[in-house]
Amino acid sequence: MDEKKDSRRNFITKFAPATFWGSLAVWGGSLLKFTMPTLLPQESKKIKLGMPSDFPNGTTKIFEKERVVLFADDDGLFAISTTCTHLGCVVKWTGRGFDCPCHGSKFDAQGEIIQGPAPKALKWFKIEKLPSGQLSLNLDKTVESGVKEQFYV
Amino acid sequence: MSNTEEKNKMPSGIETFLTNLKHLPQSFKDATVRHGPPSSNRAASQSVFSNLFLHIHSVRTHRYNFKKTFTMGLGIASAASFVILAITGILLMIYYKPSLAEAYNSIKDIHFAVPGGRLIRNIHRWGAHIMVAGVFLHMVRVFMTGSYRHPRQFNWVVGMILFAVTLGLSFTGYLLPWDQLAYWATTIGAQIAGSPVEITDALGITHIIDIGGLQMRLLLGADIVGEEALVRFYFLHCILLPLVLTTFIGVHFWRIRKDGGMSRPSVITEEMLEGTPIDENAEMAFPTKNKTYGLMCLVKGDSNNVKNSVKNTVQSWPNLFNYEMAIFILVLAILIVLSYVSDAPLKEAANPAVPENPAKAPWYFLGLQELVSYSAFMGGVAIPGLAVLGLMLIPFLDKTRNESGLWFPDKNEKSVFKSTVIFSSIVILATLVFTVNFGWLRNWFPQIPQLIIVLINPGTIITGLFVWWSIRILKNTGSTRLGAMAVFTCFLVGFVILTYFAYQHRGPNWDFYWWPSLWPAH
Repeated sequence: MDEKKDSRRNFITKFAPATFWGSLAVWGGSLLKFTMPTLLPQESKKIKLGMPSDFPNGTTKIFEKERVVLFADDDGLFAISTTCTHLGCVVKWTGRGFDCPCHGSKFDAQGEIIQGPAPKALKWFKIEKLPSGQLSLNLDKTVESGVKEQFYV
Repeated sequence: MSNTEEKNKMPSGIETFLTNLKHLPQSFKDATVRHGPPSSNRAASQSVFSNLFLHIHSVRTHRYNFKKTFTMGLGIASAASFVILAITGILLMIYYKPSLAEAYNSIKDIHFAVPGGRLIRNIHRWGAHIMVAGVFLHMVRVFMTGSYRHPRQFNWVVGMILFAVTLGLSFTGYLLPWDQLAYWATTIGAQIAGSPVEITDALGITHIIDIGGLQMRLLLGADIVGEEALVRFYFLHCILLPLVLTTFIGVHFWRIRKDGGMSRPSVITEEMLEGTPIDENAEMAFPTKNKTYGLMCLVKGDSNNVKNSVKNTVQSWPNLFNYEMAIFILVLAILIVLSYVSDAPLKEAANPAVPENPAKAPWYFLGLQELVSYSAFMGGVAIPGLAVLGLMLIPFLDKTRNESGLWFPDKNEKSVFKSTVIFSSIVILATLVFTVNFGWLRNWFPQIPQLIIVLINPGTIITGLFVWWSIRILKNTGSTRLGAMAVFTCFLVGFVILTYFAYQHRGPNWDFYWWPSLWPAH
């Protein structure tokens, strides 16, 4: 009988603080969850470019705010991101390639890494043709490096 | 008749009230301070332990603590600059508006329009520099004098936390003006938090567990640096981190007392105490080797304080408090002079389209920026994380009970310090010269996988050689203290040289230049 009483007391003395710490942990965890953002504000990711005829061979058009450069060559149109894959600085188009001012990464004209700490090549974005015949640059969609699109007029 | 006479003898309510009113200043003082002026030792002691703000000090202070070449007042100077930062920071909060539209202009208002605003902001900026430098030098002092040893191991850990939080406060602070430096430093900092993605990408598990992305989103509150990031950094800078810092400063100070006061050598000669205040009464006190406290009988165990005798101690009031106030005034004076001489920088308003070139962090992060320019994950997360962890664990790995409280107590410490300075300087300079002249793996093998660059880059090679050197010292001398001395000296030299190099010799596109005046115009 005494033994039983003892073990009940033991159980309660252990259970009470365990309840406290347990509920504190659950509450703390839910507070941490509170700090994780679920609404991720973003700017519009589509740029209207105009008609394909606006981009003759040799065109280079820099979209500073959207951080992308549009090129046209013999093989077609392509768009390369100017956000450095290292730490997010904006690389600068030099005429031959892209240079990053922050940590010295250098990329060639195709966005491939030449030197520096960048882990990946610059992203290429998808260029789409709208039903109206206008071109649109979709910054939500990336394509493989080297994919150039022909849009015959 | 007799009834009225008695009534006249009794003071009326009005009279009592007037008497009380007359004695109000005295009775208020008696209720507030329950002892006389601190003219006697007893009253001076009472002044300390009956005051909430003073009683974190011991009633008596060892004379060795006043030795100027021992602590150099660096801990007090760091705390003083924090107090000044808190006061100026609270004032700045009156005018600062944490929103994208208003932040930059409100700083401009503070700087150019608010009366005294420029001085307050300058003191706040300079105070941050002084505090970071003070905390850093304080850490160097504590290490070099071996003061992290038993029983102060835990306080060293608390000190490392304070160091990290100080850097965090500084980092979250320079986002707030929302100028070019702010925007790009935050972008880089957030991407460093996200850089574990380099590892998960290389292992192909980013879609399962994206630690980097999680950390970055937690910091920015979004995928981009914008309004959410500004609000989060404002909250971190003005509420969370100051709260954490204040709490740990309290623990840090309290532990100094609980660990038996500041460290000091076991044998102290009169020569070592030259220039410190003296109290003749202390020498006449009876020996207290075996003293115990009344309450202590209820508690099992040993207290570090019990073994302390009053020999060579002086009253904390006024000796210690004068010393502390002198350092506070000195720090304040330095800050005010610096604030008149040089303004806190404010660049152009943040422009997310065009980074500064070069985009340099404040000086205490420049060494990291140089490491990050080799590999984001290694330079921004792994190497600094390893350094902080390694430093934190020093007191638990070096348990030698050598002398504490002396700079270089024996020749070996000095010679290991010197040889490590030479070795680590050569290693870093050679690596930097090589990297600047010949580039790195990617320049020679453009197709090399990223994982190899992450693992083998100038930063990891320097770190590896430092570890090798320290293990060699540890093996050859058989002393964990000398091994720790090698590790710490490597860290110190690495910090100094990388900071200098990035400050002086890195220009646009993070290219090498001998002098900023040689930078190309752009």
